[in-house]
Amino acid sequence: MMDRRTFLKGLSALGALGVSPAWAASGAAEAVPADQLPELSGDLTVYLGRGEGGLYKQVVEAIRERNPSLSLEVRRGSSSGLANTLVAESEHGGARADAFWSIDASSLGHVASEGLTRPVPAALHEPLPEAFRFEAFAPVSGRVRSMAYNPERVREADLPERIMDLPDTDLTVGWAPSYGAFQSFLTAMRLLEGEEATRAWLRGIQGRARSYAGELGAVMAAAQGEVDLALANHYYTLRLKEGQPETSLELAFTRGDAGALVNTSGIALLSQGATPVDFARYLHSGEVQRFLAEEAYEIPLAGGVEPPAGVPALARLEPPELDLTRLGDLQPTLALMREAGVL
Amino acid sequence: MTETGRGSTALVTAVLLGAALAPGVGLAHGEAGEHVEAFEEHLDDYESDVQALGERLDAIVERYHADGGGTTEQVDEFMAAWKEVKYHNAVEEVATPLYSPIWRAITDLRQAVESGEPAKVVEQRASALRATLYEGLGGLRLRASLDEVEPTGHDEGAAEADGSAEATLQRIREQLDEAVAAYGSGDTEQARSLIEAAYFERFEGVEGGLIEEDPELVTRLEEAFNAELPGLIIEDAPREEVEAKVASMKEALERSEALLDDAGEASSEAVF
Repeated sequence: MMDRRTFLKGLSALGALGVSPAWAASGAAEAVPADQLPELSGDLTVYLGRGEGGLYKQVVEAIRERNPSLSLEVRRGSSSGLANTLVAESEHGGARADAFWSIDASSLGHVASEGLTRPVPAALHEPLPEAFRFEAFAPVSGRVRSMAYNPERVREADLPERIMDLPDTDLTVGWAPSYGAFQSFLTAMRLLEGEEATRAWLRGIQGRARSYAGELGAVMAAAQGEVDLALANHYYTLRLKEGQPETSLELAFTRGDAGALVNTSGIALLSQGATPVDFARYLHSGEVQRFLAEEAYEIPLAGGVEPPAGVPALARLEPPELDLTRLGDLQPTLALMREAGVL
Repeated sequence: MTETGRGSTALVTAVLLGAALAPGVGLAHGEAGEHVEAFEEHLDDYESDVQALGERLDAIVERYHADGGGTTEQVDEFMAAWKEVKYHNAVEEVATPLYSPIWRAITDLRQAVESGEPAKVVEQRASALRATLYEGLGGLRLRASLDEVEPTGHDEGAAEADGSAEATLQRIREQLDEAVAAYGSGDTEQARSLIEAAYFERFEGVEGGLIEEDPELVTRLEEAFNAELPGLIIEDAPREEVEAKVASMKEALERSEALLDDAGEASSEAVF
């Protein structure tokens, strides 16, 4: 049990750990420093999904400043809204963006399912682990599902290794079913384990689950002992501990299943030419990868960039193998949740 | 944000703010006609456009009922007409936040027709689309009324476009005002939609830094956005109760703004 979950046993100890599952690091080229990337020029329109407190926008502006010959137009909005706009504009024959940087894979999947994306070229695949080399979009940074628990109340050894085993424990659970992140997690479970198993999981756990309005609320409930563990994205715990280092809270991850799903932000290429590709290469640069990890606690995905202390390194996680664009298939998940009375 | 835009004119301000929410991007469908420069003089034209589009929607629904189904041809014709009318460019440039919802509603209608949904569903989608068209018209009118007081400017939109927490929190407060206005006019669906958008599309983007400053404040806002305020609307609570809840949320958002301001935003860090 200890070996599988050495990631965040102590936040400061993370850098010393060295488990590297073959799938994670395999074949990923080193991140290229920005000063070795080609200078961008010409016209480029980027649709930018709003998120992370404007940090994505800040990255885009930094790229603009670094490339004075680039005429860059940016349209911001919610990721799902921009995806819908792209699809509508395409159907209408209107102007389209050259690239779409979205905070989540499902909106990218929506655009890809409409045939609007061009295949990701090798230059953008090379810095990524093989498991994240998708045809429809290039992942930029990640976030992982986790179990947040108070070690003064719950022993790590009592946590399940597999998310499907959680109903077989007597642990109480905090969750936020209205959150997109939770729904994506459950969608991953449905795709990986099947509808019947997901229904049984929901039913098995529901009697011991307590719903919260948000995932931070669920994590705080775990810290305060209202529940034994919270199912939430990893960064809530890290943010909380950053502000309140005395908080007794740790992260644990299941192995190879939906409980350890790594969802990503990513960029889809919508037009031909080198400029959108080169723009995306900036997002894979060591500088941008480190910036997003340090400022937003996101998991670096490109170039083997080591995250700062506290942020789980990709090489130490075991997410399931899943085409993330399929996470957009949400309706059956919502139906299951409603059927189980979770929504 | 201008002083004019605060308080009782929040809904108007929201449209003004939205007017520049297409940050740094040109028109998606080419240059606007000259009418956009003087859009307040063309409101009647825009209304005629919306009425004509509404008639097309009526025709789509009628034919769908009559045929027991339909093709996407009529919807495609509707889209072509929507592209050509003056109203299109006016909404896109002057009331930008109301532009994407129109496209989304068109897509929803097209999908319903394409997949052969029951006529009732197609009728509902057409009705929803008609509502978004009129919302756009309302936005243009509101914007015109504000411009009588204050010249048009794009600074407000630019402020949100810069992604600052201050501008985002300001926009959230305005969306809450819009939600109260929608609730007051009986449009509970729109009210809930605005609340949801304010939380998931904006507050989630600024909560990260706030968690480090005051996690209890964030959880209170999570509760308010996702449970308490929608709960009041579902229960059809008196408008005064909804206003009181929104007032307390806006106080919490102002507290959030102060905390983030004191902490200094992460944006001071250089990327390269």
